[in-house]
Amino acid sequence: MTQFTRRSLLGMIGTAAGSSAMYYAMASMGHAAASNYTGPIKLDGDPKGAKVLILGAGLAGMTAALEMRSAGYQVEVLEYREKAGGRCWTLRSGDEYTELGGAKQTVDFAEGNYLNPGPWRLPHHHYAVMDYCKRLKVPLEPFIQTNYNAYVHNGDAFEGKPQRMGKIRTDQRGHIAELLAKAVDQGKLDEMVTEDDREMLIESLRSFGVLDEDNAYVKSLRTSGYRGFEKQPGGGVDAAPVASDLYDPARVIQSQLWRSLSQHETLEHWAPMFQPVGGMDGIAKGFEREVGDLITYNAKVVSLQQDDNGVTVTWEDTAGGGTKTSTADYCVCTIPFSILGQIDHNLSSGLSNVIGSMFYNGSTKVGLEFKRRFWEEDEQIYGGISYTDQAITQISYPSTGYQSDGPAVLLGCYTWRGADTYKFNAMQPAERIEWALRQGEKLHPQYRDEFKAGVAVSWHKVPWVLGCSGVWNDRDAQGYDEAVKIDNRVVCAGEHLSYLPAWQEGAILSSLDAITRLHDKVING
Amino acid sequence: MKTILITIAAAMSLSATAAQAQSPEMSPHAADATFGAEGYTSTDGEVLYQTLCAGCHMPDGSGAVGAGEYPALQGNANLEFSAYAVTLIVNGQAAMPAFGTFLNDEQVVALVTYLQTNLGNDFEPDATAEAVANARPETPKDTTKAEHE
Repeated sequence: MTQFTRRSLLGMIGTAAGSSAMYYAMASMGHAAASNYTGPIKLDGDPKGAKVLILGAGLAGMTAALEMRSAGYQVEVLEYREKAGGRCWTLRSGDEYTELGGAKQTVDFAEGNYLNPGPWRLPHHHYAVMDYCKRLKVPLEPFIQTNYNAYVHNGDAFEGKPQRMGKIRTDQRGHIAELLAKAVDQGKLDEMVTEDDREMLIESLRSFGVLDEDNAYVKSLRTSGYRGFEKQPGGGVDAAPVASDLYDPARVIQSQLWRSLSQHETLEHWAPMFQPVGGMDGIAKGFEREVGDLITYNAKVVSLQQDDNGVTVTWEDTAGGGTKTSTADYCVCTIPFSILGQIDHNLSSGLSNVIGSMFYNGSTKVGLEFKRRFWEEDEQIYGGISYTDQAITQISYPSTGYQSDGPAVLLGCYTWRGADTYKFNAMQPAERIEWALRQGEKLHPQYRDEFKAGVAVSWHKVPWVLGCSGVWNDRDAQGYDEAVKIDNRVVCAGEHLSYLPAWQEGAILSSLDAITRLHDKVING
Repeated sequence: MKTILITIAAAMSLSATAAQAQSPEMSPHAADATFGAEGYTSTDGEVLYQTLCAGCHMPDGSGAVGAGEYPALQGNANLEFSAYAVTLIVNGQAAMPAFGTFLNDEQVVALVTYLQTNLGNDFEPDATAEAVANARPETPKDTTKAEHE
């Protein structure tokens, strides 16, 4: 009997059942990464005019609104802000933003320039986000995560001078590979490496670390072809390339610059990554085009009550004034737990306990606009991210508009949780911007001369969420299962109820799962 | 309050370096900020409050209101006895993170003493290092660990 090869088996499944069946078969065979996004959801069955009230018009709320309306529900959405999107948010020229405490910033960027204070990049394997972008016609462009010509910087290493990432990466790999190849060659790892594997391992180390035939990592035109030349190959007279000196192994290891090399290798940051053209809120606007007619803005929910007959939500109209009431048969609540915990509700004690046990983390982002793209013009850095051991952690260069004249905005600070985030949170916006300049100029001395305008967002001070994302210390102990359950007529959803916290994918997947279960309850009891 | 800060900052800028002189609006706490492992080493209750808690509860302890709110600490009756504040600072509560992971016992005492005797409060300070130590969980979680970057 003929053995099936994997390819012929897949070809057969593909022919018989269409390409999506082939995709899921591939996923189960390990060829493509599996996700619990299984394509556009199908909510079959007639909800017979049942009404659902959706709290929050972020991505979770708008996903629910879009899908439940198309399944035949009456849908009403209440949103605290004056616009849709929630944390899917872009600040651009002329926008005003007032943080808690009253500091108001008016974004003084040039037309077209922007900062995404929240999510700013999309992994290609966030299938739900990618699919909604396609369905909602949100144009995407590559987000440059990895740029080996960007810098890694540590104030205590290389006299504080930033180093090109590719140079440090090549030297680190070269020195490690040489050590390991020598150890294997001298039989020092014989207990762990079989004779059969030894030759192949050494060969792989030569490839990995750019070693020569003696298994040495040495100065040569070949190693320069990986780490950069002293003088690049040119054309015509006096054009021969000149090899660059290698950094000493101890210096490379002691520099700790290698700490910054692994982030772009994590699955979440695998190339290619994407961003919506013109700002992350392109996704919010895409959803809003579909469901904007269902949303009431400037609605501050103050009470959520349910009984056997339905759900009653009381809200303050912060634009028109007065207190209003909305009722429905069911409710999808995407209000962050940081806010929901302060709202008068009669949710079950199990759910209430989880709401009360979840803390929210902070994050700081500072957008800096400069008069010209000195990182491109002077330093040949086109997109990507430089990393530093300072509080700002990184500088991300724009992934668009290369070589254009005029002002451009880079991300000059991005902290995630921890002490430095609290430190920035306790500052005023102008102070955060000043610190982004003080620390950033250690990498780019052009900062002070070229600086034009800045905007700083600290997420603990964002009035409508009080933090950046919900944090689980321990999903089992805190009761994740209890939190995602349908509580009589209410189901909660959002990034905080996913295993992809702080990612838009988590918000959408949580919402799709919640409404699928809710719909099943409505149809099948 | 803001006027005072600006006056202090202006006075400081006389002796400040050229770089700092460009930022006359910086409060002294912000101008002299330290980060990373040196970020919160002070044992001065006011410094700790103004560089940590003030971010949400505001420099004058007035709190803030948005979709939800940060409670005012000004004239807050819950501060009459230190146990409540000690527990919250060490372990967090609801959306508020725990700070016990990077504040030592002495720092928490200094902070709570500041809360009880400033921001419009006039309570008898009663926090002790022993009480802080007792409020700590047996196996503290590192709340600064990143699950997402």
